[in-house]
Amino acid sequence: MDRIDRAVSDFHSMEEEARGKGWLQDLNPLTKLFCTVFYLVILLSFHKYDLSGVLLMGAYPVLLFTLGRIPVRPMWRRMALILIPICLVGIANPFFDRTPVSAGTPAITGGMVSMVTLLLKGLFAVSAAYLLMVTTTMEDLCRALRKLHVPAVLVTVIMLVHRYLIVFLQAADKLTDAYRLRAPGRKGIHFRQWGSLAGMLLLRSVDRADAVYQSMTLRGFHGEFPSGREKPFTRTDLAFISITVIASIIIRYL
Amino acid sequence: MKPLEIDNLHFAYPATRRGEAPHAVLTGISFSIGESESVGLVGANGAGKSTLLKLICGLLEPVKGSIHVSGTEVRKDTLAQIRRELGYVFQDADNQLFTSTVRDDVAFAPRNYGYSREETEEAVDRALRAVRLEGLEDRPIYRLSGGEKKLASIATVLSVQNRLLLLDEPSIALDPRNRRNLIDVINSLSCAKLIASHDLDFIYDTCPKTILLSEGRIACMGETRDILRDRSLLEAGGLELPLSFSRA
Repeated sequence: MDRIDRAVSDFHSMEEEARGKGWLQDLNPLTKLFCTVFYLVILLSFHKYDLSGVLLMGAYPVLLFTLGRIPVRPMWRRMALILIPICLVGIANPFFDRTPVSAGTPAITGGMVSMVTLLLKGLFAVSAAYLLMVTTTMEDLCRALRKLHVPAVLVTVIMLVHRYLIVFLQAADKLTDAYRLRAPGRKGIHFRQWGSLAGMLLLRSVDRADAVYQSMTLRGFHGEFPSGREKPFTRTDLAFISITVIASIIIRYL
Repeated sequence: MKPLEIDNLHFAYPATRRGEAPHAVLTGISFSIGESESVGLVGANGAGKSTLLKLICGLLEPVKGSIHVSGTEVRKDTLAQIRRELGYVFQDADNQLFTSTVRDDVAFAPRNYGYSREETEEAVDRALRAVRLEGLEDRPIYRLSGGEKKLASIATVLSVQNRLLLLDEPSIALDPRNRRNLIDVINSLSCAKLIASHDLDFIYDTCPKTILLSEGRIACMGETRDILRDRSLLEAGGLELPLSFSRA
């Protein structure tokens, strides 16, 4: 399986996981969206030297992965593109910030602490976003955004980007397969072919996206995705929000 | 009022280069389809079959002539009304199915047309029953086989009760069993149908009447049995006798 195949397959697997059965999946999408955003705001508000506080905030993703029985391993692969730059963000801190924060040899500097804090913040933030994605379908997420009065145009754009991304990946997959079959033994695509393949990919995906849009308009689409079956707001939702909010505030301010 | 009436329809694609004349695709097309009638639209590649279907549902605008669906002329300001009356099934089912599950896709049109939750559920069940896909409601689209995708794409338009169904190459890429199943499903539908296809045996099994398009004009219109047996007529239109007749 090549990279594009894997990306398409990951897309589908994540959608399927989001539609699966489980208490996290059954939560109201608005609850999950609110808690994720709240968690991210609190997490990012920690000072760069507050390593212990950030470490405690790791309880949220760790508990959800454990209690929700969500496998962690696929996350590393699926989120690698985001995780790698996040790991690199704070790498220069130890060189610029040499203020010692603890005695001993070797001395721990402020740069080291801020690097680890940044790394953990990034890791936990990505984990929280990932948890939201694998437990909530894009349709549910968009419905929740609409309930928060996010403009319909923006929500529709998010929805369509999500759909067209798959269309784009599928078109890319077919093109690269066709190329590989006629260029056996060659690793990757030769740079001389990049231009024509990129142009072809653009044309094909635009064509396909146009057909999908036509199919939508022929079935009464007029700019806003209709709302489907909604998940009810239950006591579990209330408990989930309460625990997330109270625990986050306690960790942040006490 | 007939589900479909077309009068002196002309269409040309705009020229791709300066100084070139527009590329005429359809010239003087006139015909009508009565209630519950099933009509085949056959012709060689580039004869204008798909273009004609796209004109009927308003995806393209004619240069001249008129199209009436259930008595309403197809114009920009009547498109919303027209599209409630007809269903268009794309040649490639992947273009038709764009949501995550079969249920969501089949429910897309009823939800857009403001059906209540109960009405939508009922419409989805009815449409899936009609194409014999009961039990696959929650299956992800990408897990469907080619035949199931084709049936699901038909269900997406059957969920709102249309008077006219337009099908573009419905039998393409189907194995014999799925093809037979599709023929049975199409024959069980009571609405008027216009089916564009190269598969003449399929047209023979589903449409009592046929229109033969050749070079943008109607070369012949009449009983399917008569047209599909006329070797010289078919060959003049860039086609060949269907297998079931050539073997006889």
